[in-house]
Amino acid sequence: MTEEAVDLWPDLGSAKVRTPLAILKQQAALLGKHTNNLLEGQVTTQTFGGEFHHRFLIEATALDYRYELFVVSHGVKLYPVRLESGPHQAYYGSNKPKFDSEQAFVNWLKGVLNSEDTKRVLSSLLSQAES
Amino acid sequence: MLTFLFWNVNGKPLSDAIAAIAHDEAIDVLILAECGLEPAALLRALNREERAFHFAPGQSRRINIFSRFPGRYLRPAYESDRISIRRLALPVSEEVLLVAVHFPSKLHWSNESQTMECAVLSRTIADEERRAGHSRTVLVGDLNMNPFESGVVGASGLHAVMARKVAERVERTVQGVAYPFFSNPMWGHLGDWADRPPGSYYYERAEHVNYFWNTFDQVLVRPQLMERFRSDQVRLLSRAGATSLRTEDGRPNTVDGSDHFPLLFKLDL
Repeated sequence: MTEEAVDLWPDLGSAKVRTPLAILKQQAALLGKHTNNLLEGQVTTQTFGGEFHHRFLIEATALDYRYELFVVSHGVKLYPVRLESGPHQAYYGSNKPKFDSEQAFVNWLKGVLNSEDTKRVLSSLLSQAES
Repeated sequence: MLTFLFWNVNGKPLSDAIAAIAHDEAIDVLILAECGLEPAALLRALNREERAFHFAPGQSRRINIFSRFPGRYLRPAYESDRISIRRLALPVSEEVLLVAVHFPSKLHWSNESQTMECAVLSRTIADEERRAGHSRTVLVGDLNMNPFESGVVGASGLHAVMARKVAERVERTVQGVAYPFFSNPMWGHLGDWADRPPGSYYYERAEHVNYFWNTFDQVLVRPQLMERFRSDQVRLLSRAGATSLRTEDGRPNTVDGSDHFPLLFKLDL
């Protein structure tokens, strides 16, 4: 007589927390809509010893050009998210800015995407792509 | 033949020294890290005698590139604040990928972080080589690592080896993954056994292991470009016109120059 398998897993359900990657990909997709796809956002991910590093790129396809706006990282627990480099600041030392929650990360991201430096890059690339 | 110069000028306004080197050494491509000058100001200095230089604009704020030909021949392909990858495509020449880099210093990053960054850079370069359809790549910059450090030599890092014969194998497979080589001529520039600077950057600390002289400023070449690379022409410069970039004890002259020596190399293009 076979025994019934006992399911020992918890109720996984649907995730209530948006992952940093999902947030970044959403904004990356929106950039194309704002620029008639002259500029597109891209997110690439690498893993280093259990840490996920996400790079947010702005791509101008017509120019065959990519600009890395920033790199963030997090562990398996998703938050806090740490700022590894950028935007427009090459590196941070041991005091990397970090965002302990989804809301904190979103607030920071909004500030970055609306910053004068980011606007400068976008404007420069758009001008070149349109010419 | 194109002559390249890379110099980390440490944010100092060294327009006269830069212009003197550009003139004396007939520099064709000038790559500056931590250039504290506005491009227009440096162009005025470079073009004081002859209107030869152009600014090759890009989005990287830490790396500025100037050349004796219009900037459209050095089109940016990938950039961040610490990297500028350019497609150098002159008429009647095969295109070359020029990767200019300024890595974080050991003051701010651990050796492990620097090694990871090399892995990231390696993948970025591979992506750009795929887009370009070739691997005629030269990398130059301030890696803030010595040629023997794991990020520079490691297979998943820059995989830059000391021996040309090894680099000519093009790639090596480790644990089932193929990793392309760079050749690193800077191995031949360690120490003062010839009449030259023993390294590009001097740092002394009171601890057991201290190299004193470091060769952080390096040029690496893919095997696909090695036949065009003049390995006998790689030099760390110690003069800028009449100005010595060295103090009496041979260290970088940080009064009249930078804390790094400039690095010159040539490509037959």
